[in-house]
Amino acid sequence: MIENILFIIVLSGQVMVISYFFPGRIIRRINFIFDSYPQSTYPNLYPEPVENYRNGLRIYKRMNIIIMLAGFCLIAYLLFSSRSGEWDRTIVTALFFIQYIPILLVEIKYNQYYKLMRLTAKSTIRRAELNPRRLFDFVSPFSIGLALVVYIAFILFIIYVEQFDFPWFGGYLNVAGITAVNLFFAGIILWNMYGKKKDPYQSYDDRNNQIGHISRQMIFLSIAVTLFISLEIILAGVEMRHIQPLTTSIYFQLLAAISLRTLRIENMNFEVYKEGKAAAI
Amino acid sequence: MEIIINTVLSIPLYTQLVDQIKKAVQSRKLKPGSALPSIRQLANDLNLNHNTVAKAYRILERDSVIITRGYRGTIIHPNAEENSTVDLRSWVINQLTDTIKVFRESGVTDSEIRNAFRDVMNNRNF
Repeated sequence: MIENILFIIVLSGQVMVISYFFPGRIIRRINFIFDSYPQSTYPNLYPEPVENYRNGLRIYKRMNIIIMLAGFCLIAYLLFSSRSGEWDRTIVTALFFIQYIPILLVEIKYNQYYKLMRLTAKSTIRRAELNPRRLFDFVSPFSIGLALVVYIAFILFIIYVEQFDFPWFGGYLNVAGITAVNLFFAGIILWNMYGKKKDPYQSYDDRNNQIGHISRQMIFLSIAVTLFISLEIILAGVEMRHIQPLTTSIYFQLLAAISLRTLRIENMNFEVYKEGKAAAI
Repeated sequence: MEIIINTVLSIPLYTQLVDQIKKAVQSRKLKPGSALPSIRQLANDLNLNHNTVAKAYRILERDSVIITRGYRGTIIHPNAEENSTVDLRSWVINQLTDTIKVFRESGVTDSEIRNAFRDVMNNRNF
């Protein structure tokens, strides 16, 4: 009974956090940019008429409202129906993937936005700082060390659990999976450090801040994913699978909290988007 | 230290890079031992082809202005300041000017000089 109530509370939290709280923050942030840095004064910020972006934002808001309402309908159904709980984890995961659709669409829209920005920024002057970028310029050795310790501890943990011959245990596939995920995160960090910058007008300091932000995000995500998989194995090992829907939902909320954090607008340089400012590339 | 490349100038892009790095060394904005960005980083930051930056780095290394240390990166040469005053491009132009002057005085036509120069550069007669 208590577990059922807890599940409903945590699932409601998932609906609120991923489909209401963070989308609300994103919408307020973008509206703040529209109002504080208008197209008339900051034309480089808008490769398309601002109304196109406002329309996109309205669609994003509506999608989240629909998903949130659908989520609450699902919770109401779960609350008043008799259920065994075996589908709870599937429900949590399916809901998470549906909740992530608007975020994916925003990511696609962002990429299109920057692509258009690069196409319209036809400057013959290209600038670059002659400073090498190194990983420790952006993240502390402690964070990297912590991620490494967690990863090594995970491998040792898998070697330990392997002795018990659990029929459900994936064995070293877990290590392969976590290694692949960590390589993916490392690839994102390297791509941000050494790849072409998305925003042609972005100042050097802003770019460094962004690289630092993304690098820290990837390190936290790496730690979170590794700890979550470890927890899943522990819960399965001690026959506590019934609380896995709760931990999965909390994990998804944590992922959203890490991945949807953004840089503070006050620290960003918007002067580069003013009329007459040349693109930095 | 900022590098500025103008893509519409008649000066080749790699020459602009070489000249600016040498000027930065001469004005002591870049000191011996200072690290330079990797070819990939600089090429992506300037939106240039990697080969363009690699060519500039090769010229700077030939002139002993920088030292490339493999995976440990690229740094400014200890004697970069005096080495960056040596302008091989000007030296080549001066040498060619003198040689062409001798050819012309001997009655060789400009097209003959061009053809001979092209043949030598294409290594046909060696």
